[in-house]
Amino acid sequence: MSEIPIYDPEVLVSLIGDDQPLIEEYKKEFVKQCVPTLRGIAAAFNKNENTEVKDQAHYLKTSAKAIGAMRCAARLQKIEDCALSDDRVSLKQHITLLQNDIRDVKKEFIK
Amino acid sequence: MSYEKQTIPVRYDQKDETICLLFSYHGNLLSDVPTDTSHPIYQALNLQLENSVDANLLSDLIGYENFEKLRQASWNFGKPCSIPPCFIEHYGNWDISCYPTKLNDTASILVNFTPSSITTGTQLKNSFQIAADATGIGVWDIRFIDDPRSLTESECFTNLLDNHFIFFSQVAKQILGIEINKPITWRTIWDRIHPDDQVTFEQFFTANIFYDIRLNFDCRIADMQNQYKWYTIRGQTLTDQSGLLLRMSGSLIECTEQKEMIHSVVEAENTKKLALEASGIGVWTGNLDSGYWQWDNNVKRIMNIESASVGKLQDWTQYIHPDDFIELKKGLNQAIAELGQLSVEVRVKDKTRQYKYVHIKGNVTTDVISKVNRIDGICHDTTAHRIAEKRMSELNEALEKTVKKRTMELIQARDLAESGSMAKSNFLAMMSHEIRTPMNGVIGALDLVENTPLNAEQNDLIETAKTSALNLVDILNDILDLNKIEAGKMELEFIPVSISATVDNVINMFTAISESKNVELRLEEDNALPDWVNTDPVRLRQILINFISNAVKFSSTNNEKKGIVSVTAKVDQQHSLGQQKSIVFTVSDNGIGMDKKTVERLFTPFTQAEASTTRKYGGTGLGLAICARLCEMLGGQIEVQSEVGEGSTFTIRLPLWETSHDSDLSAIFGVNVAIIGALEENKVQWLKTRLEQLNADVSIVSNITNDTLSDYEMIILLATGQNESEIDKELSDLPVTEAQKIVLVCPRQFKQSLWAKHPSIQILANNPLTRYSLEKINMKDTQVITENTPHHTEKIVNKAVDKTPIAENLTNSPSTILLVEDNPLNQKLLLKQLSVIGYSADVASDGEIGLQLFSENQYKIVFTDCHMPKMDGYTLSKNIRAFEKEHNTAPVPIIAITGAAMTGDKEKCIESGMSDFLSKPIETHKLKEMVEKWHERNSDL
Amino acid sequence: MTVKSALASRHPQVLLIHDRELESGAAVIISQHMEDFRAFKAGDDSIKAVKEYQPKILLLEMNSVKDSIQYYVSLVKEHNLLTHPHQVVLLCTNKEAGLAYAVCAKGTFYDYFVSRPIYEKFRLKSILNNLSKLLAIQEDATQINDTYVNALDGDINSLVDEVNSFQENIKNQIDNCRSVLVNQGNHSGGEDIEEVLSPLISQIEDEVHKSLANFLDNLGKQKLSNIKHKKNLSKSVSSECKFIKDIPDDGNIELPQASSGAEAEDDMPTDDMLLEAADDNLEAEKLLADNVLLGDEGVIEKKSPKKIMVVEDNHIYRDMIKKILIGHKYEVIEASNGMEAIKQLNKHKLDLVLMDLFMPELDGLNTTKQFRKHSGKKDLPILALTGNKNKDLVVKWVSSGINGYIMKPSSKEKIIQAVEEALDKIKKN
Repeated sequence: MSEIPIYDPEVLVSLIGDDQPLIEEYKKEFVKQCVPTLRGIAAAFNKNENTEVKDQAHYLKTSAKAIGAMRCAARLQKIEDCALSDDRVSLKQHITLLQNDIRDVKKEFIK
Repeated sequence: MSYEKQTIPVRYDQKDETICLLFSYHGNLLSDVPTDTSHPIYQALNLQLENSVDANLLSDLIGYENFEKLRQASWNFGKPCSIPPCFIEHYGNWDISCYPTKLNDTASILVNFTPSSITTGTQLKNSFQIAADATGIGVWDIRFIDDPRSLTESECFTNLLDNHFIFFSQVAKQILGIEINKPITWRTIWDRIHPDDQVTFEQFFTANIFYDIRLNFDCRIADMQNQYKWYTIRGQTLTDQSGLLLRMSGSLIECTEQKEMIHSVVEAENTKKLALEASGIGVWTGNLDSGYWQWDNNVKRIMNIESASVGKLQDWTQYIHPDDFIELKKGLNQAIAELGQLSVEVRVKDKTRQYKYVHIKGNVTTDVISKVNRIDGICHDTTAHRIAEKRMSELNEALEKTVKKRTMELIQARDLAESGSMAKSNFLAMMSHEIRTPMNGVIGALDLVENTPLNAEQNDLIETAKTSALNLVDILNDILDLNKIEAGKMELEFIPVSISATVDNVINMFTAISESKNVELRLEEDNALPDWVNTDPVRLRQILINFISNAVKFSSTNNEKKGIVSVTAKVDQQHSLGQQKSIVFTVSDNGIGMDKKTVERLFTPFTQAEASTTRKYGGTGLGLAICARLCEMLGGQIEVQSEVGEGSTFTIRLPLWETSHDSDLSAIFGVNVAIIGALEENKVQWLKTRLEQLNADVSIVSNITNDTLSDYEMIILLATGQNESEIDKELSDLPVTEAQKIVLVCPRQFKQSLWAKHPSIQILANNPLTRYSLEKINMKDTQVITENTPHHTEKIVNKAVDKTPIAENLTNSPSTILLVEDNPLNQKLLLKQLSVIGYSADVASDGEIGLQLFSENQYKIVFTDCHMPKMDGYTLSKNIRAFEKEHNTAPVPIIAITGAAMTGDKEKCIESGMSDFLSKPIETHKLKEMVEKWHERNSDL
Repeated sequence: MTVKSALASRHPQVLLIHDRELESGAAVIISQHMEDFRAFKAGDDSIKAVKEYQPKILLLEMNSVKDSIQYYVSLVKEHNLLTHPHQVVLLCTNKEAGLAYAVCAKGTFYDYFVSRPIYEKFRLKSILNNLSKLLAIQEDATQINDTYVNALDGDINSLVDEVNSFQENIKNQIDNCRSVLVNQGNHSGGEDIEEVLSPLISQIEDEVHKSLANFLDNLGKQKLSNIKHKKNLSKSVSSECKFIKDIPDDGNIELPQASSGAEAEDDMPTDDMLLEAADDNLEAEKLLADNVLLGDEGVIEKKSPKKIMVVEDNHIYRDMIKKILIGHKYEVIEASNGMEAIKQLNKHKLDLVLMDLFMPELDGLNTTKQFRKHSGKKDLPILALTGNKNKDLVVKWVSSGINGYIMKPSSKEKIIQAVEEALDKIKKN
């Protein structure tokens, strides 16, 4: 997982162009989106609802990819897979790690 | 092949006249021979060399036969050898010996030539000589010059000795150990004869000469090493026609071996005789052909045979007991028939008419043609042996008897002890049951009274009574516990336990009482504490409760200082390794303290600091003893530090293994949290760390402006206000929206009232703030945070416990509950409790009636006491289950009402088919919970 | 015993002479195995038969081995028969197997077979096969009902393939050795080895080629059937599907031209390329170079802006796409799930739909199906937005009515390109 870059700014540029303020806005939006999604995933996990976990992860994965938060996207993919295979132990680990990945992206955004 | 002639030094020992020459294996002369010499051999060789150099000179010299003999003998046997003196023509007799050797790796012979010592005497070439030589018989021959008989005997003998016209054959000399070449006389030999035998020697010789008595005697002669050897000397004089003594010749043979053999045989014989005599064993033999029997003196003595009689079997057996005689005969015949052995014990009447025991053994053997003809044997007196045997067995029997008796005694003692122990356990169990039953009644009744309208004073009294009753039950439990531990019957569970939850639970037990005593309760929990450890939760709690209880008990607040009880739970990283963590709990107080002597006695049962302590402070005095034991069982240690007047600190170290526990993610996972306000010291940082451990995103906000809080989903307000209204204001002043969740941390006493005003917030008590309470923070809308409270210390909660009736099911409709209980008081109580929660029940006073009622009616729950006359609870349960199986009905929940809550009981309940259990004393709310749990569903067995 | 006279040949090359009143099981087996066979009881008929047919393979099944030999001797000596090249197979009882073996070991007869009782009929067949090869009897005479040879099952086939590949390996190794030898110039032994090796090598090569030929044959046949299948599949897709150009144009999947039977087929249609490209490289990166834009921006100007519906649950992404589209003068209708999309469907006259496939509730696939069901919407182009590379799914999409896809998150250019192409195709048709 560590070989995947945390944030690739080129992705956004290739999607919406070099509109800096717009880019900033999207970054903010993404960060905002992360919060409830992360909690949603955690809550779904606690209720043992694997489909919900998967759906939430998939949802965030879309924007993560669009934003260029590559590691988050990869992590979310892993979460999806674990939810599918009902691997609760790994799922818990990945969800916890997702929190770190999001924090890392936030840091990258600020740079 | 050609040999190069080499110059070999010739040994020519002139003194002995022996020369040594080297010849090849083929008889060629290899040594150089001096030409001008008078030595006959050399001359002979030189002569021959003139004829041919390469001829087999050796053979020519000594004759082919001799040469072959020499060569074969030496080379075949690989050792030196000699041949009898041979005659070399013109040169006389020579003794020849040779050694096999190698010269430049070629075989050769070293030949010694010695002039044969026949200076005087006849040359004996006859076959006798040869034969004698061959058989190791030495030959001697003396020539008499004058007739020896003309002299006196002694003179004659002297002459004989010195007569040097004597021939001794080589063999004779050899066997005497004398050098062959040395000329000897009888004197030479005489000097070496054993002094004792010299007499014999002289006698025989003179006797033979003078009286013609055959010369044949043995004597000892010393050899070169001065060892005596035996020789047989034989001889005879020879006369001519006129009767003149000419010569005397004879033989000389070594007979040491034979002599020695004879000696040893004789020795053996003697030894045997002596042994037999000493042992008293008699030897007998019988010739079956001739019917001739022989026996020795011993036999005679044993068998009481008269000396004169010998030869017949009857003589031998005349004094044998008639019965035994038959046996003996039988044995004999059998032995003879089977060519086997005879072995019988017979009684023989001795001279004093006493019977003695004799053992007769024999062996039958055959002669050369396998005809059975003889029997040899022994007999010996075994009387003494018999007596000894008898004594021995008597002794053994006596010994065994004693051992048996002893064993019986020991078994009895053991049984007694066991029954004593069992009696004690039974007594305790019974006692616990007997005490609990009325206690149950008391507590139940008090419980019910609480629900009636009471004034404050009555309430207070009831509370006191209830507390006392519950305390008594506690004491009882303690006693049972200690007893169990001492008896080694305490079993520990090992399940995943949350330390924070346990600490929280225990602390909450003491919040009320410490508040009422105005004692501050402080708590410090390390964030490094493992989430889950494997241990016995009940015992861990017990230990903590005991220590904290004591601390609280012995603390107080007065004018000078405020009573403080502080509890910490930390991880000792240095003593932890991997998953094994060393957890250290400390409980300190600033109370009365203890002196050294007290500290030492502290953990012994029924010891309290002072006799007066019990009166003043209450307690069983067992708590610490139990704790110490429990701690030991958990592998931990307790340390005490105390100073009179200053306070005490108890440190409990426990090794606890961290374990993983499949648990959910935190309820505040990923939540954005802001902490506002202050706590003492670095508690705020601690709080932040803990929340982050729970995966929240935490920020400490020091300066509240309207904006900064909007990003956060949850705000934790650490109230600093000193009273309710101040805190209320802090709350209201918070710039938060409806969507944001608020958690308030404030002193416990304000909880209720603040909650009433702000029903949607979560409130955590901060006196003290437990780690576990933080886990309870969640993002739910309905705020229901209840603290873990035990039954008898939280007044408030007790009141709030829901006792509202579950159903409006009263006596008109048939009861759906069956109650089986023999004690009338308990019956009444339970019925009342059930009616309070809205149920009626049918009552059976023992198991039999209960079973009958069950079979006649439909019930949804059965409550049954465990210990009843006729049919007890377990049996009833089994019967009910069997009944259900027979009638194929769904199983009905059976709840056991147990008095003695010992570990084994639980299993017993489950085994007999029960679904759940309640232990006495039963409180109404517990009963309600149980009914709620089981009434509307069938038990899943 | 009767032989199926319908099948009995006039000049049977294989003759069985027996001494039995009862049926000879062997005769039955042989008659099933080959046409060119007759059986006779020893007697005048049999002798006549031998004279007339001059069989190349003679089977003797007398009561005893001795009898068989005697009979044979009599045939030759007394009747002066069997003067042509032929081989004899001795049929005997189990008891006499040893004797028969000894007789054959001496070279008297070609081989023996225990026909009473018959343990292994395949053994007999095998003997006959070998003899046939030996005597160059025509193949069709011996292989009518030999279903066994043709019916090697799958496992065997793969094993056979394995063996053939081993042979291939060996061949390669030998080649290597050869070249190594040549390079080393090991004079003293090299040429000798070469001489010895070459015929061996060529022999192995022949064998390898033969088996490979078979293998290739099969592959060719498979390819044909696959192509046919694909053709059928592609026919079910509407012709509008043939415009996706962001798929790399490399239909160069190597299949060795098999020996026979390769039909002259149509050039593979572009939807085939779609699927194959999906096999190889689903990276949307291999688009045509930027300088080759198929849709001319600004050239084709419609009177009213095209309406595109974006169905995507993640609002950030949806917003991005919306901005991109709006930036290129498209009108955008948004929907955040399938239900909404269906509702919007009827409200607006849509020119194109961009749809996320994996959404909660009604997912993209089912929504598409719903779309297609609605009247007259068969020509509405639907492009899938997906993060999935699974080729099975791609097939599924195509069969549900999706016209193309865009890999998330893609890029501005690609999205516009795809959109324009889709719209162009509609225009063309």
